Amino acid sequence: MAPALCAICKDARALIIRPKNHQKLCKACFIAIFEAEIHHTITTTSLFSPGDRIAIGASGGKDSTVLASVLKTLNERYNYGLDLVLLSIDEGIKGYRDDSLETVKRNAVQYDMPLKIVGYDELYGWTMDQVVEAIGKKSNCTYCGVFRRQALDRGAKMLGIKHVVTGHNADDVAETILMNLLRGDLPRLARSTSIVTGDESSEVRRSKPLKYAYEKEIVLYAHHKKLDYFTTECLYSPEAFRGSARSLIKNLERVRPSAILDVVRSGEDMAKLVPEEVTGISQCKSQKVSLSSADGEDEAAGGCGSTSGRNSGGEMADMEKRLKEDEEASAREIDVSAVAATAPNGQPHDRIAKVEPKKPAKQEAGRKLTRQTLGTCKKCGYMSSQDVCKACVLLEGLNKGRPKMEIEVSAEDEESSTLRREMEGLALAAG
Amino acid sequence: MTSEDKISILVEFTGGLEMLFSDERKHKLSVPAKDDKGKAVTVGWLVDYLCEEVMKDTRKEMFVLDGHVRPGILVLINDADWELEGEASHALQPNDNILFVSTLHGG
Amino acid sequence: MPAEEIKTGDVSLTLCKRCHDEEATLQIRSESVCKKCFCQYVTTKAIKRMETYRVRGSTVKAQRKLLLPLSFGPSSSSLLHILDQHIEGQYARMNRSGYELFVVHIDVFLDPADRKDASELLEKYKGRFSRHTYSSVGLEEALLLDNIDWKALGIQGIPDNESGLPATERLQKLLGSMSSATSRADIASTLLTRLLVDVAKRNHCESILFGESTTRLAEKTLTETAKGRGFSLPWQVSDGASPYGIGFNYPLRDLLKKEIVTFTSLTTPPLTELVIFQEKPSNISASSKTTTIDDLMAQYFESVEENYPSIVANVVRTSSKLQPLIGNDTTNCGLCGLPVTEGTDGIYGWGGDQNSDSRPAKEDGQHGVLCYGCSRSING
Repeated sequence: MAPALCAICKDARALIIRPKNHQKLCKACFIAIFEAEIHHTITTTSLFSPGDRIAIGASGGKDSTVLASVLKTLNERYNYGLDLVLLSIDEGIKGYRDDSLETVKRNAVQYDMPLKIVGYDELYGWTMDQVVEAIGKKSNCTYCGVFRRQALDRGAKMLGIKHVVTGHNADDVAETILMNLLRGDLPRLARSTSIVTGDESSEVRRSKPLKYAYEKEIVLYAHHKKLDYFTTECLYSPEAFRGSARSLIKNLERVRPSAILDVVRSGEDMAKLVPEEVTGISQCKSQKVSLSSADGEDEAAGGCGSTSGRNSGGEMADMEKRLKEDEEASAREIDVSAVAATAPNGQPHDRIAKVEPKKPAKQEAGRKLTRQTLGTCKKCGYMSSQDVCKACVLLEGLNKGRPKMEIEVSAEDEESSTLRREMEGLALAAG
Repeated sequence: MTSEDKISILVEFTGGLEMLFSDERKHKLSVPAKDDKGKAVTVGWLVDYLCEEVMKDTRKEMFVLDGHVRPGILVLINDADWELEGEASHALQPNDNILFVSTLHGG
Repeated sequence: MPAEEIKTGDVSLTLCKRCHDEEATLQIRSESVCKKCFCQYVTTKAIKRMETYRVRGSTVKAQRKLLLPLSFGPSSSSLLHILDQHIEGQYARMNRSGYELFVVHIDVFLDPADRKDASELLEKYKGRFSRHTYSSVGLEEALLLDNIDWKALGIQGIPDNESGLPATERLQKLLGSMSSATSRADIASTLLTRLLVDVAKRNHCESILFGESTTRLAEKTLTETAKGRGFSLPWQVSDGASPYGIGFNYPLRDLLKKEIVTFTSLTTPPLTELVIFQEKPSNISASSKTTTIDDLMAQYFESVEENYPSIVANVVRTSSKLQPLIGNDTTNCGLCGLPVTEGTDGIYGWGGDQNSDSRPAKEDGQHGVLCYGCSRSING
């Protein structure tokens, strides 16, 4: 087969075929266009201002390593005037994070950036190894996820930094969109595509400059630039390919490579179609049939999979169970009304939310559409939609010896690993 | 078959795939130049060969699904995306460098 | 609640949870029921969705005419069967019916042999459900639609109406020019929808009754999302007025695909001899060149339906809550005809098109409006 020439320079041998438009590019032109596109995203969304101090959530993995490398390059090339800092979270898992932290330490030298490592022990008084020792391996992912959600914000605050960038890529965003459709979580669907979460008034803003970048191109960029990154699986979460939504995304990419970007576009368009009573203000969330265990922030960064979608890859069976209970409750209602009146009750139009039949009070409390204003946790003072944030609730349990919260946690979140396994089975069957 | 009928190639696994191959990133292999039907061996043939002869791990589906390299795993032939090189039908040449990179693992 | 059991000799029978009379041989979600109650369940779910078209008052108005697209698949065939009985029941009770059906089969296969089979099969349907009007239209007739902006497609080398080539060949060429199996399927289904709307309007139908099940609508939600058509979901999964000035209804929206498939074998006589069943999507490989996004989603939801049926229904409930943007300036896509609020430049000129030089130069006057999804299939 005659080697194809680069579509841009028409000189060098093409090594890359771009998923978004099948363009065949040589190494140099690919690296140039990849960087130019991130620059385009940054400038068109006015992501940064000169003088900003930016913390890069760095896990040592491919996404955050590429993000750090590209931001350094662009900051110098286009004089963004940014003060870039690497911020890493140490969950305290021996043999897992300590290796990837070594990578981040090397990155700090390679990119000449200051590095701040914040440990769970420092933030919460517990390492994940200690948490696992106390509660076993069953629901540790819940603890880790809840802790991680706050850790970057807390770390940034310690550094006096108001903007954290994470390595979420287009595949992550697409996966989150599909997961939110499967979960029936419209408020998150409405939020998940925006490049920035939080506004000027927030203590810490989060953004994802790589939201349009294909994971495939990120890996190729890291490969061709010979970047030093680390790959591993969390020792406490050995499932290799988490969640079927990920497999689905990769299958879609195989069938039609543009599909990942097309999902992102759909997500952006659908965000505008979510009725206001569901979204409310940006921090408001619906708990109706929402599965996610997130408290406040949707996405985890760094650590386990480093992506939001993967963390919530399971949950399906839990959700099925809850929805089924709902259905059974409403079926009983319908049976009764059918006997009472022969005239069928007016069929609700599907564009209007169905009126849920009465459920036991306890269930109802957790289910109805709630509008929440983001406040601060009474205990630690960090962003929380509840009086006491989830991290503090979990910590209280841990500190009391036997987690008081365990029952509630298992009902709500803990399924994830079982579910992940089930979903993985599903993914493989569907693969 | 004599030793002249062998070609040596370098196979690399990264992005987490090395875990399926005895945690070894680089595998210098000497493979038959012809398959059992007498045809020149291809990358597609190599994938089967890797599964049968090199992979000790039992989780083959993490590398191959439906007889194809699992979606989400990139294949580079001498640094070029294998789609540019005829994918599985690319005939192996002596000293070819075949790189399999997983994008599926976390970091 | 433990299932009731009665012993007949050595065999223990589980009684139907609904009528407590017959043997339960089937499942509705987690409930064991008998054949009769199962059929009742399916029929009731569909008829409830037809409330809008019930016989009203005593004044005799012109009958409302509804188009039923019949693909010969289990869903549209079941819908025809159920509505046929519904209408028969209305006549028996009131000597009139709230609506009449105009059954249309769109021939999507271009091969004359396939067409002959289809017309023979349609004759069987006419024989069995003889009360209704039938029509059969070839998909190539969509090429004659003047409300499609053919120039906007900007496809080079596609012969136009004046070329003298048979329409079927021109359609073949048009679809053959698409870059992937997904794009071909996408454009074919877009043309099919537009043709149905046109046929409905020409025949004075006020609505189209689609046979799509919950499972199919959930698949569609994710398929359209994956094809960049997320913006169009409010019109693709919800009952109500479509932007084409005609109603879209989905009477089987509360039934799972597997329930409908079961139903086809329970009617008297069974529908099975009339129905063309699709191959199970289980064996589809993402690595095959002929696999489409639609195939992947069908496969995905086949397993979701099996393990998590309530999630399937929840996906549809969720996407049905999306509301069309109103009050904004919109232009209609030159191909699918749906209103596009912004980004009328298809796949170009949005956040994800970070490289504006990538847009191929277009000749003057060829710059029509395309939505993202149509543009992806045409230009992708």
